[in-house]
Amino acid sequence: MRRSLFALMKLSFLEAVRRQILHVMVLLSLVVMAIAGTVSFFDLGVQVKIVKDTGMVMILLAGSLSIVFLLSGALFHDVEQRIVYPVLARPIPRGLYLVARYFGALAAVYAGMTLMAITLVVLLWTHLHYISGLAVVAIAFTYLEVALVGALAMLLSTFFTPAMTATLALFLYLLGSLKMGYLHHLAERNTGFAKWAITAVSAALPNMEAFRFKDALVHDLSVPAGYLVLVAIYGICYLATCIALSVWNFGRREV
Amino acid sequence: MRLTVVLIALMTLLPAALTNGHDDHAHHHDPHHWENAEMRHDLLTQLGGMAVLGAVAGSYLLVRRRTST
Repeated sequence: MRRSLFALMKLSFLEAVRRQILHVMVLLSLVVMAIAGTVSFFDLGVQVKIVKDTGMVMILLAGSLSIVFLLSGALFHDVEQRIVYPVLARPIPRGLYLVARYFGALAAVYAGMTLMAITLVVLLWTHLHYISGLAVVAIAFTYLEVALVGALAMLLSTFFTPAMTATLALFLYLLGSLKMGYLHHLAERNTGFAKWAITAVSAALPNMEAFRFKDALVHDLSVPAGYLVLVAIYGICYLATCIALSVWNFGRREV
Repeated sequence: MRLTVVLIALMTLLPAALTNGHDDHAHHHDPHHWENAEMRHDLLTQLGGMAVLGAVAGSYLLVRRRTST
């Protein structure tokens, strides 16, 4: 079983690293980060803040968009191009296939993100000659956020077509990012059914804002360790729930 | 090619949009999310919901396995 998982993960990884979208994303992000880090318009303090801000945003954006575009069509194309049949004809559970597909694509995106993270660390080292622990924490939580977005895209891809999955995943990602700042206020201002509906949608949406520690990194603020643990547990549990629901839906679907 | 153009537009516009959003927050002196009690409450509520969902799904699977054997 473990050999099958790793073999499928390797295939999924190799397929994902060959995709042009990942190359474009990583390359563009590296160019933007390099420009922010090398072109100097401001004094050192402001320049470092811009490097941290731009670097974190680019890692998150490139990672999230890549994983959504890689996973939104993965299962659909496997079924359409009949790649999935010879695999599932062997004693391999459908759930294992889906999990391998997810982790393979995630590993490819993580490889690109690691390249960007190394660039950010090198740029910070060039300017400051030290790396704060918060930079590592902020980058680690960006990895977790990207994994969560991927799990959400995977879940949606078991229900919808690739275009619909990508659009819905990005829409839910945006709504999840605005949950505390917008949806909660919107629920407070409405009454009756509208309030109930907004509260219900808000309760199911992932809280994406919780994974962002860019402000703490840029302004050198401290974050309580207990809160970091809570967010990590939350992220892993939400991710596991999405994967479990994907496995359940892919298992009962006719392919 | 069209996808690349859209992506370039997205990658150029979104960081600016995110930075503007951050400036607005800073202007209103909103607490950061790790200082916000409402945020912790939301995370804990969702974790509770997931635990209940997991318990229900686990019980259902257990009952189904027992009835099928």
